[in-house]
Amino acid sequence: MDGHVNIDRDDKVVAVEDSVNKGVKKKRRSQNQEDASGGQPPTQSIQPGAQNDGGVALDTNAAFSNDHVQENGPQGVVRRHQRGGGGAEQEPAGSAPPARRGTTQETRQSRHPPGEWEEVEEEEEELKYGAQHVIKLFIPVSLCMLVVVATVSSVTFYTEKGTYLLYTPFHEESQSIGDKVYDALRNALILLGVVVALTIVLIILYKKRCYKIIHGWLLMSSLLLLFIFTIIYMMELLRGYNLGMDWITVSICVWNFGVMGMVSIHWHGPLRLQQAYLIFIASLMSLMFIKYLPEYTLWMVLAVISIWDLVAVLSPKGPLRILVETAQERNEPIFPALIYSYTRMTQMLLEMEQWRAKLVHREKEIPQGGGMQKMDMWLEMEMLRLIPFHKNNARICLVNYYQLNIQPLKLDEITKIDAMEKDKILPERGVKLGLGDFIFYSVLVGKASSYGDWNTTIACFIAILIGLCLTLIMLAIFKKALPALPISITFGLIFYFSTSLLVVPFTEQLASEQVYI
Amino acid sequence: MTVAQFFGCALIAFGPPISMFALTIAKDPIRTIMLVASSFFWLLALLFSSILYTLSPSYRTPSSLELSSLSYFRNCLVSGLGFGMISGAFSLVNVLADMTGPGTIGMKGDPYNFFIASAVTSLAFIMLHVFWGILFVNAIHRRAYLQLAYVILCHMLASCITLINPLYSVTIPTVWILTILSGVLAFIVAGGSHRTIKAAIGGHPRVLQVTTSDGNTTATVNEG
Amino acid sequence: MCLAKLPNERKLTLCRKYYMAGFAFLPFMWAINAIWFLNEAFWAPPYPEQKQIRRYVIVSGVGALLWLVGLISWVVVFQQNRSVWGATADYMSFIIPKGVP
Repeated sequence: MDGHVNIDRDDKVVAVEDSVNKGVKKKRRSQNQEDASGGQPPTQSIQPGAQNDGGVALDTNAAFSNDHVQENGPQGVVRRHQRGGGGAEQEPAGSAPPARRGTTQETRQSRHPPGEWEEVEEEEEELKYGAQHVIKLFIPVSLCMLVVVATVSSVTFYTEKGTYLLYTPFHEESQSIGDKVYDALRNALILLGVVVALTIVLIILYKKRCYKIIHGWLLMSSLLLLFIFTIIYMMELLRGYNLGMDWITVSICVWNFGVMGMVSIHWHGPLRLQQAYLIFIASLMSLMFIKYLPEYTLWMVLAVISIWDLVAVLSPKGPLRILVETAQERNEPIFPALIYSYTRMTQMLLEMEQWRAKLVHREKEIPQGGGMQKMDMWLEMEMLRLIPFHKNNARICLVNYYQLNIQPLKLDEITKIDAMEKDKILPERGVKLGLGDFIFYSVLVGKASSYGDWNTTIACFIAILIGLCLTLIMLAIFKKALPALPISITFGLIFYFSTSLLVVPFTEQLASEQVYI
Repeated sequence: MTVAQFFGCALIAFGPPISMFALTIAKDPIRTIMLVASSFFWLLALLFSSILYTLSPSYRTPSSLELSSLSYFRNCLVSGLGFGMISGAFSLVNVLADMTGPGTIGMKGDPYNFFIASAVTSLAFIMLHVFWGILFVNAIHRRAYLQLAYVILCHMLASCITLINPLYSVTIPTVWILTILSGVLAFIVAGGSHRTIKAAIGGHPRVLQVTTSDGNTTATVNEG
Repeated sequence: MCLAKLPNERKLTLCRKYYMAGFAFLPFMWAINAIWFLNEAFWAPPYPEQKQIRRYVIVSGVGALLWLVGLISWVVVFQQNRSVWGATADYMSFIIPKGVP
């Protein structure tokens, strides 16, 4: 069957679920559970080779199913969708009918082997969840780029050349392109050397547990960005729009802005505010790069940094990899000032504590012992990782130093507490993107827009988003820390050069002749 | 005039697509990603055609690289919209940027209504891309080759008619007639009928329509 | 960070710290405090600390508003009188707009 005429599928889902509300869901779940217990042997429902942690996972599952999840019963809790079974192939046909689930359960059952529905549904849900993560990264990345592009195209200060960073002694003043590229290469290598050296210093400090120094460093840099760079930004913005302003107002504004930023980044503050500050810092930083790097050097730096990112994250002795692994060993979150997340790392410990308290409390209600130990083990593991989880396997954490690494950590089945509880106790957590990635993405787009051609800007924007998307897909496949720069930046660079060299003449011609394709 | 014209033209061209995006797509993350992906594919197609353009001395290479996607009409709409928005953006954004800038158009005998005509035609093409997306995927899905030919011919016709462009009195009506025709076709193909319209207007937004594979039985149930 | 998940005492301390910090010429902090704790102070199910939180929220909200009004009126006064004040105003200026007297 191909139920392809399905106009407002989602609306229908909503309608059905609205009308019967949660009742349907519960019924469905229990029914599916019957399906599973009838249709498949229980052992099959737990995939034997479920990636690592398998043993523990099974145990804890048993512990959990024993006690609190009455509603679901053992099968409901541990079931895992079978991948690669026959069900997956029929997805297009299969995933439509859930719309009609409320009313046509009987017919549905007769047409399809039992158990399949749950899988398809779960798969769809998981896909949706993953997509949500992607969107949650798309939004801040786009915002950051928007700030940079808007500033670059409205304030001339950031596109004027003349002063350059200390690290780029070669100023590309010669006429021939070969010399310029040579200069750019040398500049980029010097800059890369600085980045490598700083990264190594950071790793050494981290290994030696000199947290005070690291935090001091981070504090200083955010202080610098939030005060001095903000003043510069404000000055140029005011000058760009030719607005007069007095020192009193400016100092009050900058003081308030900066202190609030420090508080919300390094201490407690509303999450939205923290995110806004991180985005702002990233865009200030990338504006600085756009202003103070010579033209060819900037492109070269982008290429070189993304290669470095690849090396630093993936090679066995790569510094970022070491950083991430050490952080995991020590059960610590990586410094909050360097990562954009849509939830707070620092808050996690507290939440874990609460969660633990709740579980212990629950444990008391259970007559038989034995569960406690397992639960403890599980909690240990969970605390050990201090890592978000979701659903079955999308436990993803991106950690990052200057570049972006994406790192999924998975504990297997364990986390299948009933959804309600999970939503209540655990915040939604997921992919985290390093600020460095924000910076370099925005540098690329901002630089593209500084030439005044919007087509290239849009092309770069789309290319970077697609690259990010691909990175996240790879993250879901490989489940290990991944660098986020290479794919996106490569796409961005390819599209920048091809668009500005090949496409723009074409589209200019088309637009001026008003020909549409 | 400049700023007002900028906003006017931008809203003419991108108002309807953006509201379509906000109403149907923005809430669903998967569709948003599909939108971005489809615009990416359009970019790739454009890249190929501009390579052709650079290689060939004549600059006319009407590209009708269409891409099929999943078999749901919403999704067709999404990818069509992605195509349309990026193509509209590419054809109009630089014109829009020029609109705000210093200077004006029409000094040397160029058409005065260049900007507004561009905006209107862009809107038509965005909508056309949406409808083509729906029709094309449906054609492939059902192996209806006539529809397929219609889409390609329509694309060719609409693009070629714009070659004679300063003659707005010919091109704009033609393009809009094609748009409306394709829109009606797409609506029919996607299973729309007077009943669904009535239901949508009459405050019963939830219409459950089930068409079986042979296409004979159509049961319409109003819930609400 | 999510307020709903914090224990009540911590909410109170946090709110108080924000309130205290606001006295260091930080009206923005007051504004954030007021907005952030608004829901806790007025619409959350009642708990013992709520009364104090509510007081802090109201005071910081009013303080932030006063600051905003003061700042805006200062800017208006300055912009109106900049050319009249002559050199004094130039000393006070962060940016002097070009082409405007």
